[in-house]
Amino acid sequence: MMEVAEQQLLDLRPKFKETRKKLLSARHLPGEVYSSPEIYDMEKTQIFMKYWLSVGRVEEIPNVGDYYTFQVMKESIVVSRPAADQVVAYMNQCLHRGVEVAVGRGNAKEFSCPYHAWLYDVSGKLTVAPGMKASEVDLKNCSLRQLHVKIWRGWIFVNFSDEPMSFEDYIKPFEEPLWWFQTDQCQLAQKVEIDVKCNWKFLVENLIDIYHVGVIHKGTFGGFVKGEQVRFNLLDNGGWHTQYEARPHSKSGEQVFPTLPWAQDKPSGIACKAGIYPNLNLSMRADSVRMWHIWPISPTETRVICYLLFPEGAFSIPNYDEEMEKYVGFVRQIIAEDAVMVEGMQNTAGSKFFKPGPMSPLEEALYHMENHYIGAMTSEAA
Amino acid sequence: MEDEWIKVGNVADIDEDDTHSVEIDGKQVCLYNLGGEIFATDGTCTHGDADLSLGMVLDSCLIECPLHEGTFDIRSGRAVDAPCTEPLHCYPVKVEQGVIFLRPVR
Repeated sequence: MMEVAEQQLLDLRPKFKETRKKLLSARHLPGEVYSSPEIYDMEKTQIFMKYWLSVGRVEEIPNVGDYYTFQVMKESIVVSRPAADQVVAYMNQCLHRGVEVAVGRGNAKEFSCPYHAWLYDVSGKLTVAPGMKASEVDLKNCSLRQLHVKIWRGWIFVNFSDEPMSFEDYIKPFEEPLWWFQTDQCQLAQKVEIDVKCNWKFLVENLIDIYHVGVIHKGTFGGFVKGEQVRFNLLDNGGWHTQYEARPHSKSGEQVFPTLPWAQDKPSGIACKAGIYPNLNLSMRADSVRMWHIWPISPTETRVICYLLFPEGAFSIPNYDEEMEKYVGFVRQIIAEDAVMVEGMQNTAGSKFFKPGPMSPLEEALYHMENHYIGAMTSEAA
Repeated sequence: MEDEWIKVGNVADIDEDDTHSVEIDGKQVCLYNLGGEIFATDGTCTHGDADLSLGMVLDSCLIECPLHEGTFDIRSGRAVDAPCTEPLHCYPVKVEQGVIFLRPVR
């Protein structure tokens, strides 16, 4: 399949050339990269199995023995806390026939594989392989394949590669600009999961497309974003960040939750956004902070998981439950408003009649991401 | 009644170094013949949901659970080999003229 994808990417070179032009002459990526199953498979190898990926929050596994299972493009993993100060992640594939040893989430001392009862402790170490006494294969000191893990501001980052790029080097350009993303001082309030019928890249791009906000989101928050005044800071690693002025992120525009402690001295209309490649969108208003995770499920399906976070003070406001419900509803409504468009783009992506259109200066962050994508996908194939 | 001795089987029913499962008041109990001496424990392993009577008697004193191959000392219920950690409950047993009696006391 890699050869087919590489050939497709070679054939797309003239169209990629259009995306590589300077912003004011550039065209969007061709439909094929959003619809081809072979290119999708290659994205798994070239992007998702190489880049650091956020798979959740440390407070989802607060106690020793806590664990949860997760899937990244069909790779099943376990994330667990084997000791108070230790978070690990490993492949959820029994060393025997590869079936999942853990299911769902919870607290456990050990996992007994449902197939042949091979026993693993919560760190993934094989403790017992029953029925194997006579085997001449050395099963001592075996463990489910461990992934590299880094905790950053309360987020659990994993990397599937044997020798990942340095996480510290990768995140360094963000450390100072993300002064507004103090998520190690926050707790997870809610996770909002939404499935959308489109390629993952359409959603990543849509979340930074400020160009459409006044049109699509007029009913929710569109009226409040002063698009022309937004400037993007573009980073070499495919990331970006920006700061502009809007109103607090609620339907009425009124501030609902207490001002974030680190934003006390900032204008109440502050709005900050950032993107960490490949699939994270970070966003802040004066009273709230959130990170969207965009997960590919298939070439034409995506799961959005939006983590809503607050510092301590927010959880004890008198009408917290009611306001949380409204906030979640607001988040769902934003995606619902976008869904028609992103699913529409997906429909067109496979059409031979579609020629990608030119970019607006407002699409500078998309331009940056689309070009980073070309680099990630063709550096080996070129 | 916990004080009463209940007839649960015959010594002749159990081979040496073998097990025999009986049910008492809906609970699985495992009987063992160790060199002619009879012992009894709960039939369910304390580590996982497994029937100890399907396991092997080792060294004429240990019962190995068939699920994860951990062991208990049949005579005391002590957990010996990992992954077993919690002791197994043992029942008082007496044999009279080849008939096995057990007191279902906890």
